[in-house]
Amino acid sequence: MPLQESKSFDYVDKQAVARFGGEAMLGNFPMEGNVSGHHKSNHKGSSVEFSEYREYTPGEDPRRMDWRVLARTDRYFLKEFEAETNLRAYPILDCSGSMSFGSPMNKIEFSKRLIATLTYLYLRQGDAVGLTLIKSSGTTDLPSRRNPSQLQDIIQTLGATKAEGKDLLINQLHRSADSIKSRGLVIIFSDFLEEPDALANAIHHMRDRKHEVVLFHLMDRKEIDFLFDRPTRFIDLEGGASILTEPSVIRNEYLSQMEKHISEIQKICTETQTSYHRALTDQSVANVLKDFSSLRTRT
Amino acid sequence: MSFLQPIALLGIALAATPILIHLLNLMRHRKESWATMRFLFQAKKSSSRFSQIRKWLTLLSRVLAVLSLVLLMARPISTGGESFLNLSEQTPDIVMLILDRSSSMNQISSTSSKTLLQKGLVAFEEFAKTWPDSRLVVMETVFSETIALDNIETIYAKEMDEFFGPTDTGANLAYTINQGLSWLENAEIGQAQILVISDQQSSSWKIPENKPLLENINKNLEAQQGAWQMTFLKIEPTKAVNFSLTGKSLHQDGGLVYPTLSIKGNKKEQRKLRVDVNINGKISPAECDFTSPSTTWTPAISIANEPPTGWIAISLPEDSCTKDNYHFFTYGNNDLLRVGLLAANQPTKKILSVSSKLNPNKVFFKGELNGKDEEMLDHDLLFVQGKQTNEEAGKLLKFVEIGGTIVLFPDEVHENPNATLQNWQPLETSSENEHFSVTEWNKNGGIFSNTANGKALPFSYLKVWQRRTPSEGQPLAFYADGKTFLTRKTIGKGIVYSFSSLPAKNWSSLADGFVLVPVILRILEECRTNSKITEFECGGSESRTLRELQSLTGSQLENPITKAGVYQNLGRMVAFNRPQNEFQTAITDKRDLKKVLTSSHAKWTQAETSGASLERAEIWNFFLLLMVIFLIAESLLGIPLRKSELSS
Repeated sequence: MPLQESKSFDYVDKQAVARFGGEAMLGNFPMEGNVSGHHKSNHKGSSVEFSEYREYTPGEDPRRMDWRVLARTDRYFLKEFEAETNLRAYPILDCSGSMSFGSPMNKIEFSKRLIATLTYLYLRQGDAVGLTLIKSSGTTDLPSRRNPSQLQDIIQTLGATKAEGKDLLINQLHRSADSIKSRGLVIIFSDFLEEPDALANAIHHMRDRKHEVVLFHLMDRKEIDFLFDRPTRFIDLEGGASILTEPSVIRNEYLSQMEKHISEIQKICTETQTSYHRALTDQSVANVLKDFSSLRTRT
Repeated sequence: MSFLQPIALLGIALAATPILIHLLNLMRHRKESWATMRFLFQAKKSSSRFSQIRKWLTLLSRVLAVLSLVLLMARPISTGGESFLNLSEQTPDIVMLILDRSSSMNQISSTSSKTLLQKGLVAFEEFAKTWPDSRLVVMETVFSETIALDNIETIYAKEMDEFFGPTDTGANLAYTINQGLSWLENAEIGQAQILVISDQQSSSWKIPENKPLLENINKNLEAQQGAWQMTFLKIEPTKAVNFSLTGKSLHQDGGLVYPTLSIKGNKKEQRKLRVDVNINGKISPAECDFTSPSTTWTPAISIANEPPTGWIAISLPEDSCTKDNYHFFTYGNNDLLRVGLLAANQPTKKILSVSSKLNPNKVFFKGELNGKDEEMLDHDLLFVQGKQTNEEAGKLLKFVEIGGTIVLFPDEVHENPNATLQNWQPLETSSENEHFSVTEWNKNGGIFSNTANGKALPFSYLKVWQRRTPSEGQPLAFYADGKTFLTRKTIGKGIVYSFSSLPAKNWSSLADGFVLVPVILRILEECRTNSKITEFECGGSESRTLRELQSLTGSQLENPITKAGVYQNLGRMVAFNRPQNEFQTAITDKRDLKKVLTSSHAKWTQAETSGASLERAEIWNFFLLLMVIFLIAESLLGIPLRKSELSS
C-alpha cells in the first residue's frame, strides 16, 4: 500500500543510508555528466588522474600543452588527464499488475523503497537521478536532476503509483533506450515475467546506447518456494485468467520452470555486462543493496 | 463368489469416499492471486502427462483399497473350482445338494443355536448363490429322490418340511450320493456342483459295507473328468451337555413291564437324571442314577391299571439334541412267537419242544419242520440241529437275514454241517471221570444275565463231556480252558445262537434243564421283544410298506418314515424308533473315506467356526492382501519424483 504523503520519506531506508552513505557508489562504465563528479567520464579532462600524451593539433587549447616536454624536445605534446563527471541514474519501475504480488509488502512497494534509497544516495553524492514509471495507462518520466528537491519529487511520484494492468516493460525499455540522450545508469525494477528473448533485445538496445544497465529482479518467497497444502485456484494479477490445480502435483515442474527462467535472465545479464540482483520482498532493503553497493565502491 | 455378510456390501458405497474427498477438496480450494502464471501454465502442461496419471492412479488405489476392505468385511467365499482365480470355470448346469437328514443332524451346531441340519441348509444357500443361473436339485437321505427347486428360498418353506425338516431316521450317504449321480447321468447333466452336507457320523457311511457304492461314486466322478465337482461339508455339533436314550428290550411280567434302556452322556459325570415315563399318555416322573459314559437302566413300570395293550414312551429332559431323548415301546401284544424245530437228535428234540411249550400264551410251538417246508420263513425262531442239505441251508440263511433267530446245536456225526451259519471246531471228548466246565459268562446282560433278584445261572452244575465249539460270533460263555460254550452271531437282521454241546446224555447235562431251559426262555423273550412286529426303525422298510398307520403319540399327519412314535396299524400298535446305529456317535475319519473316495474332484471342507460358511472357501485373506497392495501402491505414488523422472 502506498505511504501517506506525510510518511513518504519512510521510503528511504535509513539503515541502508547509514550503511552505504559513507562511500561513493560509482558506475562501472564511463558516464556523460555535465558537471564534475565521482564517475569516470568518456572525455579527457583536468582531474589528477594522468591519462596519456598526445601530439598537439593546431586549434586545440594551448593551455593543456606540456611545456616541459616542449622545452626538452621542441615538440608540441598535450598531457591529458582522466575526466570525472557526475552520473545520471534512471530508475525504471515496472508498474504492471504482477508487481502488486508479495508479502509482507508487495513487489512494487519494495521497489519504491529501493528506488527512494538509491535516489537519496546518488543525489547525496551529486549525481542526477530521474524516474520512469511504466504503467498500462501510460509512462511517467521524471527528467534527471541533481537538485536535492528531486528526491521529494521522486518520492511523491512513487507514492502515488499503484501496480495494475498489463506488462509493457519491453516496449518501454526500447523507448527509454532511445529517449535517454547521454550515457546513464539505467536501473530496472521488475519481476521480469517477459520472454527472455524480448528482454535480451531490450537490454542489448540499452547497452548499444552505452547505458549501464542494472536489473533488480523482484520476487516473493511464495513464488520461489511454491508451498501450498491443498488445491488452489491461481488468479492472474494481470489478466484475470485463472487455473485450478493441485500445487503439490505441479510444484516440481513449476520450480523447474522458474529456475530455468531465472537462469536465462542471468545468462543475458552476463552476456550484456549487466548487473543482476535478486530482491525478495521479505528481505531488508539494506541486504538487497549490499551486493549492488559492494560492486561500486572503490574499497 | 458369494458373501457370508452380504449386508456389508452396502459399504461398497464407501469406495466412492476417496473420490468425494477429492471433489470436496477441489470445491474447497483456496483462491490465490498470482503473478507468475506463465510458469504455472507451463508446469501444468508439462506435468499433465505423468503427474495426472499418478494422481488418478493414487485415487484409484485409494478406491480399490476401500473396496477391498469392504469386500473383506463381507467375508467372500469362493465355492466353485479349484481356485478363486480360475476364470475358465464354467457355470454348472446343476447345483445339487445331498443332505444328510439323519437324527444326529438335529444336534445343535458348535457355533450357533441352529441345528446341524439348519446350518447345512444355510451353507447350501451360500453355496448355490455362487451360480445364480444354475438349476437347483436336492436329494436327501430319507427318500433319496430328486427334488427340483424353483429358487433357493424354497428350502426354508414350511410346506417343504417333509423334505428338509428334522427326522428320526438314519442315513446311508453312499446310497443317496449314488442315486444323485445316477440321476445326473440319466438326465445327461454336463456340469454339476454337488454339495454333500453331513455330520459324517460313521453310521451314515458304513464304509466297509458300502465300499462298492463308494467305489462307484469315485468311478463316476473320475469318468466326468471334473465336469462334476463334489464338495463334502462336515458340520460339527456342539460339545454342550447331551444325553441320548435308546431302548434295548421290553420284558413284561404280569402287571409290570421292564424296559431295558441305555443312556449315554457326553460329559464325564455321575448324577441323578430325571426321566419322564409316559404310559398311554399319562406322564409320571422317574429318576435314574446315571454314570458316564453310559448306563443301562431297567425300571419296573406298573401297567396294572392300564389296558392290556398299550404304549410307553420314555424321555429325557431337553438338551442340546432333542431327537435322541426318547424311545417308544408297545406292550401286551397278543402276537404269539412262532417257534419251529429242525433237529435229528431225539433228546434234543424233546427238551427243546418242552422248553418251547412252557409259555403257551406267548409262544406258539409249530412243531417239527421238514427241511423242504416253505413255511420255514413264517417262523420267528428256529431250533436247528443236525446236518442240512444245501437247499435247507440256503433257506435258513435267508430266514436269518430277514430277521429270524436260530438256536443252533452241533451235529453228532458231521464235522461241519451248517457251514453257512456256523463254523464248528472238531469234536472234543473229555477224558474219563472228567468233564468240561463253563466258568465264564456275561452275568450283566444278555441271555446269561443274573436274575432280577441277582442270582446267577447254575453253570457250576453243568457238565459237558463232548463238544464242538463254534468259532464264529461273539462268545457269551466260556469253558475253563477258554474255549467257547456259546456264541451270538448277527447275520443280516437276524441272530444265530450256537451251543457247543447237545442236550443228550452222552454229550452233556444240558438236558437236565437248569441251564438250558432258562436260556431258551430268555431267547424266546428276547425274540418276542425284538420282534419286528412290535418295534421298527423309523425310516426303515417297514415304515414305507405298512399302510394305514396312524400316530398315537403325535400329530395325525405324522408318518413313521420320518418321525418316531407309536402308530396304530389295523388296530395293532407298532413303535417306530430312531435306528439303533444313530445311537453310535462315532465320526468317520476323513482319511478312511479318502482311501476309497480318491477322486481329485471330491473336496473336503468343514463348516467355519462362526456362521455356516465353507471354511476353506473363504477368501478374505485374498482381499486383505489386495488392500495392503493398494495401500502400498498409494504410498509409493505419493513419493515425490526425481527431477529426471519429471523431465521425462
